[in-house]
Amino acid sequence: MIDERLRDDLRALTDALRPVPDPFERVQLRVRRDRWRRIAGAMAGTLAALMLLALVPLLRPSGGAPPARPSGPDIERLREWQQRLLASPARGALAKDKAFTDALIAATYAEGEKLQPFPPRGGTARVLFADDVGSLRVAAISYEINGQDPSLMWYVADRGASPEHLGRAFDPNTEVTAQGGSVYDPFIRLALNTRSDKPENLLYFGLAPDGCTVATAPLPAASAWTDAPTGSYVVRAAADHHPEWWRVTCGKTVRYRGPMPDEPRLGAGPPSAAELATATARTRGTVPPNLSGLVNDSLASTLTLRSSVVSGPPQVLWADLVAEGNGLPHSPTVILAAPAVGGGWFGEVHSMVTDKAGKTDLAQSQFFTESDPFDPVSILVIPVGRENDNVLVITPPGVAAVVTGAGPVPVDVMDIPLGTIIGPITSDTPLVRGVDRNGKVVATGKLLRSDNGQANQVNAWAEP
Amino acid sequence: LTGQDGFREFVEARYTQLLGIAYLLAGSSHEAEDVLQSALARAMRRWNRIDDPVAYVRRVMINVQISFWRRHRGRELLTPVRPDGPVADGSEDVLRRQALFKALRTLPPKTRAVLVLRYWADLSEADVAAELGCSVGTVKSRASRGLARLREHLEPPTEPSRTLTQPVPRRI
Repeated sequence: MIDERLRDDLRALTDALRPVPDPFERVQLRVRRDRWRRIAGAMAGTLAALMLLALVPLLRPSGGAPPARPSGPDIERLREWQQRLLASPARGALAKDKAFTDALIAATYAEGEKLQPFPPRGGTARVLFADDVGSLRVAAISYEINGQDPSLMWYVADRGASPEHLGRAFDPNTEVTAQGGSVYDPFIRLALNTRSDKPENLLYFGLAPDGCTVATAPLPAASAWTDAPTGSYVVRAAADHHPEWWRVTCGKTVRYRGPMPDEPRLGAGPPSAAELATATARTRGTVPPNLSGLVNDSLASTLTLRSSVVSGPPQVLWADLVAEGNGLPHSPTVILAAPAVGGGWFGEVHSMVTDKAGKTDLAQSQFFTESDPFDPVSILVIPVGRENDNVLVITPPGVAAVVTGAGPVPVDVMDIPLGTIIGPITSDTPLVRGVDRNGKVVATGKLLRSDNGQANQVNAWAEP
Repeated sequence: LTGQDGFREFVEARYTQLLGIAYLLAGSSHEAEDVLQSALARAMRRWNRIDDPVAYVRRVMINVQISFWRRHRGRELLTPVRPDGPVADGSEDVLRRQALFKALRTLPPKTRAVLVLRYWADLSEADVAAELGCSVGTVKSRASRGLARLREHLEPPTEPSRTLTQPVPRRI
């Protein structure tokens, strides 16, 4: 039976796939970008050395013309911090060995001339970091050419490698698995992974401008801060890695506070029966049986609620069909929530929305609330929609209608189990009141704010 | 179809078809684009030495997915629902196909590849065996096991939607 309809269903699954534009041009670009890695990889093979080189353009993307420089006071402040970072003394035990760093820079130039015109002569090369970390030797070098925004390259080799080997050997499988911040973020945060299936080769870096202090705090609370013994930078090898938040203080101002670069904690897959029971223990209302698949998928796939911005696993806050109005089909919807590091709760809405053309798509939105959303007597007013231009209201039992704003415009929810979409509710009318059948206000709620996990984090490099 | 013009022609003619296979193998449109682009980049470098470019690109994509799966075993990201695609029919079909899509992702990559080549690309068992470099018997057994796994995962048809009987609230 399944094999009979499998062919049709597989075709239906792929019918509407539309390629990203310019597929041929994108292949050409990929081949050009791969060239450096392929040639260098071949060179590494002939050297018969187990040296690894991570070629990671960080501060400026590689390939193509340099991006246009943004401008404005915020960018100028970020650029000042970036210059402070680049002007900082090199960090790491090997960075103080001038003979080593000079030889390393010379090796990267020599290798660049053989293989590809990078790094080009005539610019300024600065070693920002060089040290042995775990089983590896790592260096970061910035190259600034003709006043363009600098490029940062990470070189990774076996522990104890000579500068000549470190500067020329190459492993095409080395990659950055996580990277924080923007191209102008003065706190470089990244995780390097050689993809060699050796977890000991995972490295985590945080590099702040000299004079700033980096502190770390372990999850789940991320409240017990300890200054990093290395001062203005922090390095974690796989052996001493555990999820934590990092904080950068410059003077008396906290310029950054947030999760270390790390991958979301995936891999749980669909929840077991026990996990599902735990995740639904406080669910408001009853999950319809035909939404169990979406509940499982939502729990398995959520990224934010399994990342280092939450201090506990995602739980099912609510699940049901949501009325879209305008004659559109009701949307199967699941709302998850998890406690946020630093306090409050993050929530995530997963909704299967069907448009007028009959196309169904997964719509997701995220929110933050300071109070416990599982409180059964609270009203939740959750921003949803592509532009967060509607709200989903979840009401406690006994609420017959909700009233928004100064002018009471009741929305009939008497026959709806729990949820409905109303809107828009603007910031001028943030308060929602739930009234019983006699018109008495029995619960109130405020419009929750959209947030994709940034609440409780600090990124204040652009501030004076 | 030789030279760069021939390769461009091939890409333009076959891209959507190959993207479909990549999508079923990889499980998301973003990852499918990446897998296909990677395979085409490899094909471009060997273009004048490839006899059957469609089969070549398919093989590369399958190998890439198998090696990716090995590297990321245990932390494969499950896509909750088909991220894009038309739904011109009823919701039960949608739910069934979503269940199928999800079930497909739970299969070992070689088994998934057998089912995709056999039922999506319409290759014979012998052609699938040739493409995957295994015996016809292996193809048969993998297809059989794969279909059995799909049967285990696929839920019975969902109950009639409550949306038909639910009142629709007024919007304000």
